This record gives sequence, C-alpha cells and structure tokens, in this order.
Amino acid sequence: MSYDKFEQTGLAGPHEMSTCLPSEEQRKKGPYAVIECFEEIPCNPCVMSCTFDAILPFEDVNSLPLVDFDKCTGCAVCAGICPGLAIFIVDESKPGDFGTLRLPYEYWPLPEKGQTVMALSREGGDVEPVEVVAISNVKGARTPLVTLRLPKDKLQDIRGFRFLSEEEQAALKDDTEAEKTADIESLESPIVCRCEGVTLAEIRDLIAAGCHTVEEIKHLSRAGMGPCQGRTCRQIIMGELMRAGIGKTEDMPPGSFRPPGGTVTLGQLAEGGDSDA
Amino acid sequence: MRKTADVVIIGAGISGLAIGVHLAKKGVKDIVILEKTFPGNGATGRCGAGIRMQWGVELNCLLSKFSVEYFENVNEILKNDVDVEFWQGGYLIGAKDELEAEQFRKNVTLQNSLGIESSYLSPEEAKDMMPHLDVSHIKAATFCGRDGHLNPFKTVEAFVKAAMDLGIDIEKNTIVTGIEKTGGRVSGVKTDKGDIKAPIVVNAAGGWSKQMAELAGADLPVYSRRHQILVTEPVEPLQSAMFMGFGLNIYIQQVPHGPFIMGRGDADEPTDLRMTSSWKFLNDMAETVTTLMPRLARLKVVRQWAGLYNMTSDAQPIYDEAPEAKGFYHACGFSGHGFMLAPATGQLMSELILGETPSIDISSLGIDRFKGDMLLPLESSVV
Ligand SMILES: Cc1cc2nc3c(=O)[nH]c(=O)nc-3n(C[C@H](O)[C@H](O)[C@H](O)COP(=O)(O)OP(=O)(O)OC[C@H]3O[C@@H](n4cnc5c(N)ncnc54)[C@H](O)[C@@H]3O)c2cc1C
Ligand code: SF4
Ligand code: SF4
Repeated sequence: MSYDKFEQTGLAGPHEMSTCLPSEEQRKKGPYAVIECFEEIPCNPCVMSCTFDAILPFEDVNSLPLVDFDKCTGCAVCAGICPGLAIFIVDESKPGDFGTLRLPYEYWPLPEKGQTVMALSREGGDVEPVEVVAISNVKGARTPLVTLRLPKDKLQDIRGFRFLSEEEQAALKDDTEAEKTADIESLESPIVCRCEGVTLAEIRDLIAAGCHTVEEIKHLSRAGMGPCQGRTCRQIIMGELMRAGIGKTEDMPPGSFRPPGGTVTLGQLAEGGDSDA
Repeated sequence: MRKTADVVIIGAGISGLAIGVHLAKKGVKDIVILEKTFPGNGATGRCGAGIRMQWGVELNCLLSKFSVEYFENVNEILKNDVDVEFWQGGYLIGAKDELEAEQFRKNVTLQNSLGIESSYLSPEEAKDMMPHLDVSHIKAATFCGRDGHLNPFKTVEAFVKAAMDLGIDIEKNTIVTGIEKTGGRVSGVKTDKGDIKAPIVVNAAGGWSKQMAELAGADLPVYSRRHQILVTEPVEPLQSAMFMGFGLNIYIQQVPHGPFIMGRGDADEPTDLRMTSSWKFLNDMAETVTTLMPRLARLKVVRQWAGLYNMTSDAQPIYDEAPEAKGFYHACGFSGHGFMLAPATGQLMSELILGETPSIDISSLGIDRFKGDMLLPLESSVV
C-alpha cells in the first residue's frame, strides 16, 4: 500500500484536503472556512455555532463536518468555537498575490498587529516570516483568532506561527534595509542585461570612461554574455552609444554574435556526429 | 596624438600591457601602447586564462612559477584593487597512455626539483579528486594545487588601470601601418592616426606579430593558428580543479560564477588569421568531453568563439631584439600559454630592453635558435 500521510502522521494530506476546500468559483467570492476535521469523534459545536447553517447537519454526533460553501460567509464563529482548533478561515478573494489566513491561537501572549512572526507548516516547520494583520475575539467564542498576511500560493500550507527570536528579528531588519536600498538602486537604474544583471548606470559609466563599442562594454560588464547572447541589451547599448554622441547605430560594429544561436547540449552535439566545418 | 615617445609598444594584449607597466615601474617615462581595437580584444580576451606550473621543460616551469607568485600578489604589485579572480583550484592533468605516464613521472621529478609541489597520481586518486571524470580513459595523472585560472577581462582591467596610473598612454583604435628605420635602427612607427618617433618599438602584436615584423623588414619565424573554445550555462559547483590532457586533447575548467569553459587543439585549424567558429569544433569538443565526463552531456552550450595561438616550432616564446633593426623587440610566439607567462614577459622584456641582467636566464629564447640546430627541447605538455 502506498504511503498515506494522514494515517501515519495525523496530518492532512492531499486526499483529506480535497474533501474540505471550495471550488475555484467559490474561492473568488470571499472568505471561507476550511474545516480540517477528519476523525470521527463525538463532537459537534461547529454545526451548532454556525448561524448560516453552512455546516451540513450531522447524522449522528460522530459525523464529520462538511461545509456548504454557497452558504458559508467566512464569519469565523465556528473557528473560535472548535475545541480541536481544526477550523481556519481563508480569504483569497482580493486581487494581488497575497491573501489572509485566520487561525485559532490559544497561547499567551498574543502577537501584536503589525508584528512579524514565523509562519509554520502543518508539520510545524518554519516557512517564512510573515506579518500579523489582525487579532480578533469572536463573540461567544473561546479561542482568539490571529490573521496572517500570506502569499496566495501558501494559504493552504501554513497552519501555525511562532514568535521570532531577537537574533532573527535583528537579521530581518538588516535584510529589509538592504532590500530597500537595493530596490531604490535598481529603481534608479533599470537592468539592461537581464542575463548578467547589468544596469543602465553601469553601461553609462563605461561609456563615460571611454568604452565606445558594444564589444568593449561586453568585456568589462559581461552585458550580452549570458544565455540569451545579447538579444535585447545589444540594441539598448547601441542606443546608449548613439545618445552619447559616439556615432550612428548603422555605422557601429554590432559586437560579435557567438554561435550556437540556440541552446543545445553537449550530449546532443556529441551524438550529432561529424558535420562539415 | 603625440608625435614622440621613448617607447612604443604595439598591441594592448596582456603581453604589451605587462611590458609597458614594468618599463614604467623602472622609471621609463614616455610610453605609448598602440592598439588597433581595444585592450584585450586579441588572444588575451579570448583565452582560457589558465595558469599552471606543471611543465615538461625547465624554463617553462621557471617562467610560470614566476607568474603564479606574481598573480598571488597582483594587487600589491599593480597597486590597485581590481579582483582578477585568481582561482587556485589546481590543475589535474591526465595521461592518455603508458608513454605519457612515463613522461609525467619525469615531469614531476623536474617540477619538484624546482620547488613546484606537484604529485603523481593513480587513476583512482584522480577519481577521488574529480568524481565525474571517467578514469578508465587515463593511465595516471599529476596534480598541483597552486595552479588555477583567472578572469582574463579582469586581469586586463587591472593592467590597464596600473598602466594609466603610471602615466602610460593607451591609444585605442589605432592601427600600426609602418615601422620606420634609420640606418640599422628603428626610429618610429606610422599609424592610421599619424606618426610617432621613438627609439624603441616593441612588437607585442600576438597573432599579428609576423606582419609587424615584416613592416620593419624583419624575419620572424612564427605563424598563427586558430584555436576554439566554448562556454556552457552556469551550474552548481562541480569541479574545482582545471582538468587537462595533452594526448587526450582537452582542457576544461569551471569558472567561479558557474559555467564550464573548455577547448581543444586541432592540427587542421586554419593558419590565416581567421577567428571564425566552426561546427566541427563543437562536435569534436562535445565528443571529447562527454567521453571523459559523461555527466556533462546534459549541459547546454551558451556560446563558442576563437582566437589565435601565435606559434613557434618548439612551442616556446621569443624574447629578443630583432637582428634587422636595433631597438625593435619581439615578445611573441607564446603558443597556448602567453597569458600565464605575461608577468614574466613584462619583467624579462623590461630588463632586456633596459640592458639589465634578466631575473631568469632567457638567452635560449632568442630568435637565433631557429637558424641552426639550437632549437630548444620541444615542450610536449601543450594542447
Ligand atoms: C582559445 C584560446 C585559449 C587559450 N588558453 C590559454 C590559457 O588557458 N592560458 C594561457 O596562458 N594562454 C592561453 N592562450 C594563449 C593566450 O591567449 C595568448 O598567448 C596571449 O593572450 C597572448 O597575449 P598577447 O598580448 O601576446 O597577444 P594578444 O592578446 O593577441 O594581443 C595582441 C594585440 O595586438 C593588437 N594588434 C595587432 N595588430 C595591430 C596593429 N597593426 N596595430 C595595433 N595593434 C595591433 C591586437 O588587436 C591585439 O589586441 C589561449 C589562446 C586561445 C586562442
Ligand atoms: S465560518 Fe461562519 S458561516 Fe462559515 S460555517 Fe463557520 S460559522 Fe458558518
Ligand atoms: S467542532 Fe471542531 S472538532 Fe468538533 S466537529 Fe467541528 S471541527 Fe470537528
């Protein structure tokens, strides 16, 4: 028999998850409850708590909860009620690359709004630092809910978080500052050669320093040496040379094109046998 | 452009630049380097930039040892901080057959006697060092950990910076079209941008050095042959040492940012200053490398290019004054190792030109050796 993640670890695997998620259409509408409750146990507060009758009525107290996503509004009442901390509220309806995850958190202290925490996978492993965007206590519920801002593609993978250590916070601060300056620098100077990451500022500096041919600029900056062989940067560099008054593009040596024109592996070439020189 | 100079150097390849820098360091004032395109656009910017002390004849061992020590301290010597990316991952050299293995034994004895720490390895030991090498194709190997490779563009940049700091003029896009003589002496050069009077002219024109000699009515027993080379896509570090084989006909290195660079020789390559690329090279190179390193078959080739080897009949350079024109000096015929010899070239040529005692005895590298039977022992450790 093949490995069954749920049976061996108690963690929801792809099979379990396929039973508790809404359709593409329904996900776009608004927030929804993901009930990761897969053991038949005598427990039913979720069904009782939902004021929208969105959790299907149980046949008996051991039934598993199933959500009618056309009715579920994502109000999160059930999530604060569930004693098993098995209910999560996911919202991926807003445009952009980010969505939110509301999860029950029963420890003390609670994080603060705006704080950065380490998102954890189902297994409890570190995923990435993320921002806490809200803390809420749903009326009548027992467990506070913490809302995390997550990349949409991680919404079904992250199911917990932990606080960052002081060292981690310090390192993070350095990183974001470095990122900010890098962002600003690259904003000021667009990338001309994407293969080698050469900026317009670097090209202009070289021209000012007396490099007046594409080939020379290529030697010193590596612009045009990457896998695409200068398909876009070559024109931009020639344009820059022209703007600097070096000459008309049609008179300029275009710089050498190096075969092969497309990528081919050594293995393919070795099999190709002897073609003529 | 200036009208006079103390020294005119033809060619801003690694050789011309090194000679200029060393003359200036010794106090020579008005030096101009004339370059038909831009620095490093000859063989220098097209080469593998490998450097090794594992040679089969003593003089090459000594010259390259000088250069390794020089490159190890290049920033202090050139007084700038350009990172020339000197990667000392060693050279692993494979012997194709018993005959070559026997020669390698002798080479290692010679190298060790000169203070070069190379060692003789069994195929199994070579395998430990380079797991992706199919050692069923080699009978033995040698290794020296101080060998390695540089970034040729960065090295040129370092020498150009040093030259400019020392007040040397580098005239780009300037083609030497004639060499003037008065009596038996050189007296200047003609270029497409004007003439320059100078009592000393240095021929460091690499693949074009024979043509330069002819302009001075001098005979130079060299010829140029095309050599091709290719680079692959960048991948994770796999190989730290350069691998080379003479009988196997290959050199292959992985450069610091990930791509593999490899080349091989071919006696059928043209000798007419052509620098075009051929399919035959791609096929032959791919066959050679995938036989020796089957794992590399999945690597994609990004580009290929070619440059000129300037050859002598004993594969060793010429450092000499032209007998036909006093004051006209040759530094050429570097075969496939002029890049690594450049520091020695700079040092020794500056000593020769200024009449100083050379740091290494290079009397055997004169031009006369090709006349009679004074040819040097042929260096067999070449690709
Ligand atoms: C594919 C390949 C791989 C190689 N691999 C290695 C290696 O791994 N290690 C190593 O040590 N060596 C290697 N070599 C050899 C090495 O590249 C050369 O020996 C070395 O670069 C020679 O330098 P140079 O300055 O003497 O000549 P060049 O670099 O060729 O410079 C000569 C200069 O003279 C200029 N010139 C020519 N005619 C004129 C004129 N009329 N007027 C003005 N200027 C002129 C040219 O434009 C050129 O810039 C390799 C060579 C090739 C082709
Ligand atoms: S989230 Fe709210 S609406 Fe949805 S099932 Fe739970 S209680 Fe009902
Ligand atoms: S309340 Fe929680 S544990 Fe009980 S059935 Fe609902 S989801 Fe499962």
